[in-house]
Amino acid sequence: MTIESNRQPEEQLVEAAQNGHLESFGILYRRYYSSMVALAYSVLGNRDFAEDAAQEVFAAACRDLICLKHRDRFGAWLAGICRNITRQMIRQATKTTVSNLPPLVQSQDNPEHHLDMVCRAVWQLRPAERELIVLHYYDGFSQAQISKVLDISPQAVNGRLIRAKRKIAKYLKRNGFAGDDYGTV
Amino acid sequence: MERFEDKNWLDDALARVIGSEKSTADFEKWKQDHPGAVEMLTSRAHRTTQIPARPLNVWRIIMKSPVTKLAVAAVVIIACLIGLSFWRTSGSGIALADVLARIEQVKAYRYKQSVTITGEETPGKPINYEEHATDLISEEHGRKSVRQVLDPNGGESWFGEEYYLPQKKTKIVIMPKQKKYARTEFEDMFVRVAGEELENPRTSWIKEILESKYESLGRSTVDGIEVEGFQKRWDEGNPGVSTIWVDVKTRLPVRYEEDNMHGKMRTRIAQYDFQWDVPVDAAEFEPVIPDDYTRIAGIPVKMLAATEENAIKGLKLYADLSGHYRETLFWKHKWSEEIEKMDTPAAKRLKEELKGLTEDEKADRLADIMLPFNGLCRFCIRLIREGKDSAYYGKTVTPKDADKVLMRWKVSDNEYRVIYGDLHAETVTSEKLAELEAGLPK
Repeated sequence: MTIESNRQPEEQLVEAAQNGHLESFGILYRRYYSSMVALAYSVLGNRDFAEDAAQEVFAAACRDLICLKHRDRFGAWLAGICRNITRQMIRQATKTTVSNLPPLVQSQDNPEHHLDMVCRAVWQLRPAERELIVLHYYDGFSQAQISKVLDISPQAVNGRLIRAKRKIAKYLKRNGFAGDDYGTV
Repeated sequence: MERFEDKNWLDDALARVIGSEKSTADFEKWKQDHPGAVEMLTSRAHRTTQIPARPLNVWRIIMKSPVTKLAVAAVVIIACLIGLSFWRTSGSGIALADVLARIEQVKAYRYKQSVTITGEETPGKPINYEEHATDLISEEHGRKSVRQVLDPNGGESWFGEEYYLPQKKTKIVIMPKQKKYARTEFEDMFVRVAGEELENPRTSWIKEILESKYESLGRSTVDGIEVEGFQKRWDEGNPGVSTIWVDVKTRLPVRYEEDNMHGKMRTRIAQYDFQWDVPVDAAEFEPVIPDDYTRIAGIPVKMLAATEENAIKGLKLYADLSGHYRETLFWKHKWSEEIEKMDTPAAKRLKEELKGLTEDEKADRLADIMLPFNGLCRFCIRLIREGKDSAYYGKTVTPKDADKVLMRWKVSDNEYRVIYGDLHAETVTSEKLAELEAGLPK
């Protein structure tokens, strides 16, 4: 079997990989690596750790790929592995995302304070919302790409994204930022 | 206070704090760093995988007998409506992801189940229920159960076979000792739900475990098999614990247990002796009803689709007959006693119509009339099975309460569907729902 291009339908790639075709797995790796890093980052809050987690996701995927039944849901399946691995990493390292954040800057005149507060607003979101926000802003993933990884429709991605941004805006308002809606409407 | 007039400020800020950094997907380096994973993948080039069949246990109770298990079915439905989840698990673990993936490959399996319910179903109404069952579930053919309900005073109160045949959109109950049978046909939607039921019970609870926190119980031995345990406890609402034991060699479940309290009622479920990927003889799913068997009166011959539309029809039907909403939602085998107490014009007309009929004829006629209510019940069951955070306030909300929540369920992360007292429906945010429910009568 020859894999000719990255445009090959995903289900074929998955099937080929399940049959031991390494190059097919490589295409899937390149296709999903960034999104797995972003997903892991949404949990770990650390880019280096997120890269490590993504590497492990694909190692685990190699081992378990044979068990994947719904080949059209490869992205969502991979995301499930990613969530498990990141949770394990947190337990093992006893590190939390929030504690890794930089300390809050006291002066509100300091421009960095704005970003610090936004950062905190992102990390107070529920995990599913944070995944969405990070995927959207981390590497500019399209709604279609995000929908594959999160296993929700592109329309739902859009709706949830707006709601998550509104929550961030509310958090910012509660903490002294008086913007109207911060572009969330 | 600071003010950011630029509408794009938040987008820019989010992009800055989150990163917008391109990750480099270097597959060649990954291969070098993970030779074991590469070897595992490429070694499959000419290999097929088999899932070894082992005795196991797991899973969930699905109340099926419409004859003697009404009380239990009611318990299940009521529990759902007030938010009891029979399997709310949480956790982590690649091992469980493995378990899930392996179970998803299974085409047919058998297992045994026991259910005991003790305590008080409602204040002052004791319940003592014990059931034992053997189930065969086949993706291709459906579900076959042989069930025995024990009489709390000793002996056996019910024994029968039940067949769930999605391809034929039919459920059949056979009671050999009584020489009775029931055959019920389902509308498409319910069949779809039923079809999911055939597959999901073996995977949905593991998915739920993987979605949230759970506790590892470490290694142990169950039925002579070395296992690893996982357990979820919940304290809010209805306290309970769910435990699953997984074979460390096959990475397939060996035993599943639930123990939970709803008020003063305790429900314990054990599923065990699982056999995965068993060969199935199609004849096992071809029930034979002897000619001298008679139909069980009062069992609906049709099941309406589990939809919002039918739920509203069911609510309206009961309200038209009684003048109010039913306090709880569960299907009754015999409606006559309840109808007898109603005195609306609609109820009086119905009672007049039933005069002169035998008890069995009445039961059949009422089952037919109350069909929309079974649509409502099934919709509720569906919401429960899908974990939609459903609630029902028929005890305090009346048909005149146009602005009060009669029933609600979750439709997305931050949205709920609400049916109001006057039966109009709309989707509201979680915040709006909280406001609405805060105003409900206590």
